[in-house]
Amino acid sequence: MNELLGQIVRLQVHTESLKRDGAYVPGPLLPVERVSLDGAGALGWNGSAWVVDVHHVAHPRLRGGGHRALSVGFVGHYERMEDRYGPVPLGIAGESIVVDGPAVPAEAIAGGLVIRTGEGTTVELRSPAPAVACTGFTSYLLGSPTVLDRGEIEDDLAFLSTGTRGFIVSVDHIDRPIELSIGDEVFTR
Amino acid sequence: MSDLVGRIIRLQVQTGSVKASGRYDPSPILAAETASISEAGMLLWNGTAWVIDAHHRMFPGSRGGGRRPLSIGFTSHYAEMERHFGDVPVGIAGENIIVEGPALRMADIDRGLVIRRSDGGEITLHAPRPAAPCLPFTSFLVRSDGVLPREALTEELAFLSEGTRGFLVSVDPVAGPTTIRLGDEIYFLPR
Repeated sequence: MNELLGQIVRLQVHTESLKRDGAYVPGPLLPVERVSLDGAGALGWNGSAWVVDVHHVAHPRLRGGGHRALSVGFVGHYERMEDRYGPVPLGIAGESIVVDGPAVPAEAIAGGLVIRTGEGTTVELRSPAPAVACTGFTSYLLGSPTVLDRGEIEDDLAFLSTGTRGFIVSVDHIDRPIELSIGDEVFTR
Repeated sequence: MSDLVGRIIRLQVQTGSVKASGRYDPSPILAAETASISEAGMLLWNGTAWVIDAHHRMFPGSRGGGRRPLSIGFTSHYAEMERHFGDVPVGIAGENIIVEGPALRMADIDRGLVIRRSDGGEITLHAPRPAAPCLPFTSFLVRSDGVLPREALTEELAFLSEGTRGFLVSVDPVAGPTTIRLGDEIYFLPR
């Protein structure tokens, strides 16, 4: 492990797609106490049951084919979004994990991330890649009642797509479930 | 289509172990109107999210390791259990699918079963085998405060063992996740 980036302040799953007819609808975002993570994706503990994230291979309406099973965001990026767009609730972009840490650039985490749980177990999140912002989410941030054309929001898409919108990470290598909780620490690798 | 067995009247998952304390505790059983089944097991739609069953292959710390991903019971077996043990709420044994139908035995369903959905879609349930009753569940049925030894339950275990406790089934591996609902029909697989 290398530099501590911060602690996990939010864990969440998408119970269904956050896009409806192209528009961004954050209603299916569900904050959870714990996440069970392996190569198949994330399950979230809602207090009484394990709930299946829409990117998990077991989800009946699998999105991403299990290839973008997990995403990570940083509080520092939310602050940047707020500076530009006004109030942006933490987690509204739908990242699985939100870290109370700085707005790290992609280069700073190119080697991957490592999470250390409260029990001392570590798990690697490999190959972070900036999540590409979609027109639906960007229009939502702009407060537009309709989904704007790409040409109208090029600057915003560029602003969001370098990591501000979060990072997609690979978890294919995780061969047994590991539980993550609020407060677990996230490091560069 | 072959003969109708009955309609699905209950769909449920176990959100955790029903034997976590050593005794049988049915409180992790969760029922709802819609489920999704695949060869890996069952998910239940709780109204806002898909909840994973404790026997699903991808359940954290999976129980059964996906080797017994799905189970099915019949209301007439519950009627038989009630005659033997007194009040036995339908679904208390934790089967995933409860069918309003006759007390079938292994010889009746050895070829398998078919679920026909309201939209006409079908999914086959293969390789049924009777679920073996465990000591905690059987002790629960006889209202024992503790888990009784096997020799104290010989007669009850035998009574429950031929399908009365339900059947384990396998789901057609070719089919992807299939949504099923209350009211969907169960048929015998044609011979």
